[in-house]
Amino acid sequence: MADRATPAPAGLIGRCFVHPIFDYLLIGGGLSLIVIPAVYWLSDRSAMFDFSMLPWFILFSNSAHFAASTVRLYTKPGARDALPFLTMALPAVTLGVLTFCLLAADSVGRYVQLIYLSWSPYHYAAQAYGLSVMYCVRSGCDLTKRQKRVLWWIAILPFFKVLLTGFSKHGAAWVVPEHILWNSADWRSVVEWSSTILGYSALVLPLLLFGQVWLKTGRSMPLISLLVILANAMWFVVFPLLDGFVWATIFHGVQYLTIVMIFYVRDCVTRPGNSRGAVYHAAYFYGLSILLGYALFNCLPFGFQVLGFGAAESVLLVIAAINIHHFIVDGYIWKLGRGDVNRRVVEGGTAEA
Amino acid sequence: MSQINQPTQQRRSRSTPLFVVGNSVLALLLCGGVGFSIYASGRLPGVRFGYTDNHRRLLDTGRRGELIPKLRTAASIDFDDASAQLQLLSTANAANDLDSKAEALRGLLNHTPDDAELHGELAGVLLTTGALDKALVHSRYAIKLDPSVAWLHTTYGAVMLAMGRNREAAVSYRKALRLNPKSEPAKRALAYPLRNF
Repeated sequence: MADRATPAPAGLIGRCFVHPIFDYLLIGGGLSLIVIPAVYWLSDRSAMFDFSMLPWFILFSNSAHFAASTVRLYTKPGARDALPFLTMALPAVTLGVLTFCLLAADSVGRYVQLIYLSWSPYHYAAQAYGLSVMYCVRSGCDLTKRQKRVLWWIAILPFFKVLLTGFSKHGAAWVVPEHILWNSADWRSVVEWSSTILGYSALVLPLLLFGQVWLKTGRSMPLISLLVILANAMWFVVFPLLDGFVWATIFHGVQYLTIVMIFYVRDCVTRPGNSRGAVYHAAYFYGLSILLGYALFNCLPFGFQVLGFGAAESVLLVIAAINIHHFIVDGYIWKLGRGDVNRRVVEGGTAEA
Repeated sequence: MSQINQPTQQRRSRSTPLFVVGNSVLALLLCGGVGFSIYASGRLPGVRFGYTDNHRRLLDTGRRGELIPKLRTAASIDFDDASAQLQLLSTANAANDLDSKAEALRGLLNHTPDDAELHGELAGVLLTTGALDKALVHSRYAIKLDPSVAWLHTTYGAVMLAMGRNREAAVSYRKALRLNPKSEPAKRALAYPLRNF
């Protein structure tokens, strides 16, 4: 970061990629804060479980977003040389591990499911943190190492909340003997209290950090950096766990697809010899992501059923494997290393969008 | 520059066959999956992903025995979905498969740990399978959650009786009788095996 020219401070709104309304709604998670109350007020809660619509929502946001990380991996300039294991070996390794898990589904299946369900809120939180810092960098608000560390811990509080709730709900029953699990000690209410405290902290601490940065540096973090952290916290704190997962799944997908398309489109339009516009590149990327998402989530489980595996383990473990593959890939493709194309995009101006 | 790139090129040439193998297998699985869906249902795989259609087919054809292992696998992996546990419970009930019933009840208890009747039902199943210590844990917990339900005391009494703790069994049956004077199991137990307690 030392050789980078610090962008001029961009005020409270921050330096957006496309337009403040677009960035705040789609990347900041603001859309979720409009849509979710609307769904609750205009319809009843059962709207969330209207299975006729939900699969389409999932295909266009969630499945597409999982596939988008793979599409980005193979279209990102220099990725094949920088990430040879990820690009060349990981597909085969994933299929091998998945097949082993399918063979031992009764014994390892629930743990694979547990890994993916626990990793998901961490992944959402880590993305919120990454986006928050990215907007700070773009907006000329240089957070100190300590502030970044504090922001990271605040961002992942919802993950700890989910982990705690999930462990008390399922995990404890797998590892604690029945006579201890169901004794007179009221340990569940202790867990619930801790979980509530974590939830409130996830909503209040970002505001405190925002104030602290402002007071200490005389410069504010852009509001979108705050919004993205708060939106992720709200999905898991305000709603019951299952609803939170559904909303987070949908809006994290929207957030991810938007930012990954911005990066992809900017790479494409700045490529020498490019003759197509941003809309073409965005539509191409999204189309490819939907197609790959459909193939992986909806066709691949049938492929394993052809090999003789049961429907339940094929569907559930394929979903888990795609999730885990996505989390791994995502851990690498967003690095802002020196010379990485991502860095050029982050430091680039709004006009390039 | 070429020296710097040499290890990268070596890595690349080593990993290319792995890439080809991985993606060929993936392509075969995808094609096989599409073909299987068309063969089985006459259409492309739908956007709704779920595994229950397969289970419903087995249920419709009356093959409950075949269905239970599949439901157990589903309930075990899909532990976060209470409907998977419920489906296992109802099928295990119909097939009178006590092990599967206990597994489904345990799965459901993780979702609603404060459901006294679920604990009582699990205690009853465990008592029948001879797992007395575990039956005791759940029947005691069920009463702690809701001491006003007569049959929970009956179950606790039955567990005590099976463990040979006749005095405690009699106390529990009497409590059940106080809550429900028509309780036949309590009347029977107090009339014969516990007549002297």
